[in-house]
Amino acid sequence: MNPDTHALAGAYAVNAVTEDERASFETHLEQCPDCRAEVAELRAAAATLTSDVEVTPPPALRASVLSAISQTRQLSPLVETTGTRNPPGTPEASPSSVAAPAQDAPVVDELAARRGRRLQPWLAGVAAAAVIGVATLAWQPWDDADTGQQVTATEQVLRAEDAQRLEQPMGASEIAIVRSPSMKQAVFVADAMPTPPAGRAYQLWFDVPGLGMVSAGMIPTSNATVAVMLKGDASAATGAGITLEPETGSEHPTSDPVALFTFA
Amino acid sequence: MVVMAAVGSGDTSLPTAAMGPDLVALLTRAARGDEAAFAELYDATASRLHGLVVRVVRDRAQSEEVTQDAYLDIWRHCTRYDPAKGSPLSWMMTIAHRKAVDRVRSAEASKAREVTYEATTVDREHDSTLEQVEVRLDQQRVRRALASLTDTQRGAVELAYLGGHTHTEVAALLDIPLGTAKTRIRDGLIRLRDTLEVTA
Ligand SMILES: [Zn+2]
Repeated sequence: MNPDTHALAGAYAVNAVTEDERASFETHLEQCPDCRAEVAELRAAAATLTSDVEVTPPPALRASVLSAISQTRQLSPLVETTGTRNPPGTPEASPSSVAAPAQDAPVVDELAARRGRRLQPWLAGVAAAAVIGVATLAWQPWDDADTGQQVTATEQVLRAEDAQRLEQPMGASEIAIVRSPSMKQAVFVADAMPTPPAGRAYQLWFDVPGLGMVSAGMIPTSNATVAVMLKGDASAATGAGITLEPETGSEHPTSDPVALFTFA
Repeated sequence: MVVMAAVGSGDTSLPTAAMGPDLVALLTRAARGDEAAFAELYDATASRLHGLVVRVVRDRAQSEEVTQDAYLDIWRHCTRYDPAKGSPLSWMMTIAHRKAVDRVRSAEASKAREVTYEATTVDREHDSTLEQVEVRLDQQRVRRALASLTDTQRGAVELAYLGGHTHTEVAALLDIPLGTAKTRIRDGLIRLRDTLEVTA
C-alpha cells in the first residue's frame, strides 16, 4: 500500500478529510489493520484535547434526548454467525421469516454476517461513508405500531410483506433501500444524508441487466429523514447505486458510486 | 464527572478507580433498549460531548441541536458498539465530533450559496458561549502532553480537530504544502497519544 495512504490516518481520525478522501480511506481501512488501530488510538488522543472543556447542556436538552430515544428504534446489531454476540436461540435466517423486533432476533444471512464483520471499523465509530458493496441484508418488518391511518405509497413499500431492507452506513448516517419485489417498487431511506457539495446532488440508479445504470431519480437534499420512491421497476433491477451528480441530474452516472446495493 | 482517564479506557494503562460509572456496562444495557441506562450514560458524558461540540460549532443553539443529534445517533448505534475499537467515551466523542464538523461544513456550504447570511450573530453567540465553558484545573497531564507537541503540530491539530477544517484547509490557513499539514496532524496526534499513553 502506498505509504501516502497511511499518512491520512491522522486527518481521517479527526474528520479533517473531504467526503471523497473519507470514502477512499475507508476502502483502505477495510484491509489495513494498522490504520484501523491507529485511527482508534488517535481518536482517543484527540478526545483529550477538550478534556478541560465541559459545558453542561441545558436540562431541556436532556429531556428532549430522552424523549426522542423512547421513540427511536435502535439499529439491529450486526451478528456474526460464529460470534459471541449471537444470542442463544437466534433462529436461522430465512428469507421468508418475519423477525420479531430485530434487536432481539436479528434475521441475518451468513453473507450479511460476513459483510457485518467488514463493517466493524465503522461500527466502532470509525465513522464511515458508504463502504461500497457491503450493504447489510436483513428482512426487516417495520415494528412501528400500525396507526390505521392511510399510508403513502412510500410507506406501503416500507411495510410490504416481502420488503427487503438493505442498509449501509454513509458518513454518520445510515442509508437503506427497501425493496418490495411484489410491488415492483423500492424506497430509499436515510436520515441526515451528508450534505452534497454546492451545485451537486445525490442521484439514485437502478442496475438493470442489459441496460446498465438507469436513473431512478434524485434524492432531495435535507438534514432530516428522507424517504424517496425510486423511479422505475424495482423488480427488474439487480441492484441500485447512488452517485453525486449536478443538481439537475445526469442521464448516466458521471462519478464513482458513493453507495452500491445488490438485491438478493 | 468523567475524568479524562475514561478517555483511554478500553485501556488498562490509565487508572479506572474513581472514574465514575462503568460506561461499557451502561452502553451494553442501553444497547438492549434500557432507557434508564442511556440516561445515566448521558449524565456521565453530556458535559464532555457538549463541550466538544461547543468548541467546534460555537453557536449555542446549533450546538444544542448537534449534541442532541449525536446522542440520538449513539442511541441508534450503540447496538453495534464494539469495545475492541475504542472506549465508550472515545466512540461517543467521535460521533459528536463528526456531527459538529458536518454542521459547520454544511453551514459553510450554505453560506457560500447565500452570501447574505450575517455572521455577526455567530460572534455574539460565541462570546456568551465561552462564558459557560468551565476550565478544569486538574489537567496538568494533558497540558504536559500538549506541551510536548511542537507549536506547528499543535496548531495543525487544533485547526483540524477544534476548527473543523480539512487538512487541505489547514494547509491553506497555515500556508504550508498539502502533505505537510497531513503529516503535522498525524505526527501531533501520535505524539499526544504516546505522551498520554492512551490506547484506544
Ligand atoms: Zn494503512
